[in-house]
Amino acid sequence: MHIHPIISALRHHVLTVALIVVEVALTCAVVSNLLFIVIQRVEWSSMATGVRDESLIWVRTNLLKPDIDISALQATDLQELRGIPGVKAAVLVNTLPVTPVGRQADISVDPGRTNHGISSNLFLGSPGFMDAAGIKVVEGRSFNDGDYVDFRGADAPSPPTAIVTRELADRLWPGRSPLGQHFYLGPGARTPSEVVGVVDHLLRSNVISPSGSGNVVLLPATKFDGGFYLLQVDPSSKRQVLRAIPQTLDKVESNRLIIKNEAYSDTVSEYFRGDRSLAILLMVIVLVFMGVTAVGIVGLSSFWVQRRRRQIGVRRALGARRNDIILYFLAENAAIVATGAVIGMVLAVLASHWLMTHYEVPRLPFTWVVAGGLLLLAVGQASVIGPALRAARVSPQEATRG
Amino acid sequence: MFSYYVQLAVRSLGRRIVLTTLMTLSIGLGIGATITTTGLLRLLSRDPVPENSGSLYIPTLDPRGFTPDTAAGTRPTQLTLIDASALWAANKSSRQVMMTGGRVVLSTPDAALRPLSADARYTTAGFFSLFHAPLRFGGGWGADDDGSASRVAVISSELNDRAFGGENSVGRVIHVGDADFRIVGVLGDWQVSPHFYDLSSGAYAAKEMIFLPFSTAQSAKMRFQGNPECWGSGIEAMAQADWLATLWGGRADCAWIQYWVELRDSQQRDAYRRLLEGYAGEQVRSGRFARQEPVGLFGLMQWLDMQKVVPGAVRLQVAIALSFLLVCLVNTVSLMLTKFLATSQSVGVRRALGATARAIFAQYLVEAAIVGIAGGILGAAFSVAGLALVRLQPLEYATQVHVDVSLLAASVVLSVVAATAAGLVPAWLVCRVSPSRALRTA
Repeated sequence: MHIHPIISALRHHVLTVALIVVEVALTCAVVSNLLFIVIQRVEWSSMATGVRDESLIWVRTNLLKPDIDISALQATDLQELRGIPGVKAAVLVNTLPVTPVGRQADISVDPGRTNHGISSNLFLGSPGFMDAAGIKVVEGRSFNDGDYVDFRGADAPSPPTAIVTRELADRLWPGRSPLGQHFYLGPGARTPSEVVGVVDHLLRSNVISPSGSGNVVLLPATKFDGGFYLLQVDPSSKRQVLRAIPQTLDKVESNRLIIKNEAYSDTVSEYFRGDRSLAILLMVIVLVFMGVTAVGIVGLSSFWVQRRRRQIGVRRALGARRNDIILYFLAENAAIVATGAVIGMVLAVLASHWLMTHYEVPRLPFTWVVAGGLLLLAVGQASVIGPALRAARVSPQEATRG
Repeated sequence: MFSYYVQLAVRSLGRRIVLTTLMTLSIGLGIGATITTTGLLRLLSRDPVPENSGSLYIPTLDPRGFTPDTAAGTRPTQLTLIDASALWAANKSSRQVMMTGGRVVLSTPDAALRPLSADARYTTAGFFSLFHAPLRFGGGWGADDDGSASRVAVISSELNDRAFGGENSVGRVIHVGDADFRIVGVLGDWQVSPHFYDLSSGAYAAKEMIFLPFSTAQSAKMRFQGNPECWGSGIEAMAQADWLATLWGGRADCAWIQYWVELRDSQQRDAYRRLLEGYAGEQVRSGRFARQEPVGLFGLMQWLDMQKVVPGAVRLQVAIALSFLLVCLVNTVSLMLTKFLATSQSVGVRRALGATARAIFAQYLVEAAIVGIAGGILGAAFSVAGLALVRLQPLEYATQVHVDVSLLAASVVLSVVAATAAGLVPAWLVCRVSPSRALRTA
């Protein structure tokens, strides 16, 4: 089948061809950019936290009386919290993935600290915190009771043992086993910490970009600043436990603010809610865009079939098979849509450039530009099938009419 | 004649119901998207103080030295306490307000309110009248309260509901930290979104629950909360234990005071600008300002624009919606072409019976306009649904989204214009159909 007669036939329909080309080009430019943003948001918002989201509750309080022995109060609080039916464990931690509370440090393997450290999240917890949070060690060992020490800051003597995430280990000691390695918690740290175990994945508290989002150091500590309570509960009794917590804490000490008393799964879904709803919104826009374009192609193709009934009849009378007619319309559509798609790909790159300068969106990869063009081509072919089948049903007798 | 065209158009549209539906849907979707997004844009860029925004000005000064953290082109958006106090004293003839944000622990003597940590605003007395804040009960405090650092407070209607069950609480007592404050006023329903008088913590920062005299906060060194712009020694001062004392004592190299002045005409504006320039010059001569920088005096609306109060994503959505409208219109043109030219035989008959090309053209434009009206009504429905969806989104500004009648009217007008424009080329093509050819092929 020759493409040349198809192209020359199109010269007689400049307006209608131009309409489809413009429509396809615009849709292609918008759709490839939007789809790229959607995929990024979906990837981002489906990151696993690395803890057991469904059975955790976190409780933060703030004392209004400054002259209280905080450690003693925390011990009593934890004991009382463990007594609430449905609570399996209650521990003190200083951070959780994707919460606004957390402490960061620049981790370095170099005692002289001549090079810059790697920004990491310090995850401190009291005995049993890894089991309560559901963080599993995949290499080496977990913390023993003897590992737990008081933590006075990154510049004070560091806890001698630590567990790191795989991601951080790969950054600090690429190609080597992290077990037994030493690192320093900050530029002022005098003593190193030794890695005794590795966890597969844990998200940090301040996730800024996907790279480095898993840099976490777990440290065993009994006393530290900024601690709050983490409760492992039976998921079915989560709501009852949440209701019981304020009274339980008030019994110990009522002169305090309860800043947070929340199911951790709610925290996580709230954190990603904006990204998820944006992804859904953009996906709807993409579908509507393509739907409208498909309708336009169906409309114009039907119009063409309508106007060319006689020519189709002549071709059929001269021996063209039904398949030839169908192929003719498919090829014609491919030629038009491909033109639009190529223009659309150029527009997509321009739009991506404009987005990058105005909205901090990463550059649209070329594969996505091509994917957008191919998608439109597929939509075009799918839209023309109906009209083409109708054209194929035109009988050779039409040639004799008029 | 016009009503005859309308009749013809309705009959013709009814005959090709699928095409008509597709056209209407196409226009409706495009209009709906455009009206939703532009409506949101308009809502977010509206005037927060329509009564007075033309006379509200924010002065800026740049007291920083040449340090690496003072990038060129970024001037402090707030004032230091020293500069704010000096400007305050220098111009007693205009209404003005100086203020800053804070955070306090609130409770009531009768324990009706569990201790609550809330945002507060420490401000001079003019705040409520200058920004036309509606008061449900009582009123603001007076200048004499500012002078004597009285323990008086104006509370938000939300706090009034939570602590006093929504009753008139004027004259009652609320604990702020350990101190007793007497309530003098209760705010009514006040939409402070964007948080226009203090954008330093974000344009959609939470509303304050309580308003206290600036002087009272200063003498008690109450907790400051906001986004101070510090440089030089101010950055180190922030980490010190006596930070609040340094801040309230005016000794910190930090700009943390929001300052507004009412200037009624260009004469007052020019006078105030001269005052600012004179003050900055004096400070440079005395060595407090490192260099002469241009002073700033910005109107409220200009300030909101400069501080990019409208989220960039909203403008992006408008761009997407407009390109979508374009696709929808191209689509409508192609559908109309299909529909109009399919009737070329009847056009031939009418032309042969004496209808002029102009009459045919007019008739098809009427048909396009009717599609536009239907599309506009559909578009209005889509935009109502669209704005309802925006309200469900987890956005800071979602609560203030509402539908107004002018938006719906705009959608119908825009739709008729767009559909008629889309109908021009198809109508022109169909009116040029030659009668003899059309009749021959029939």
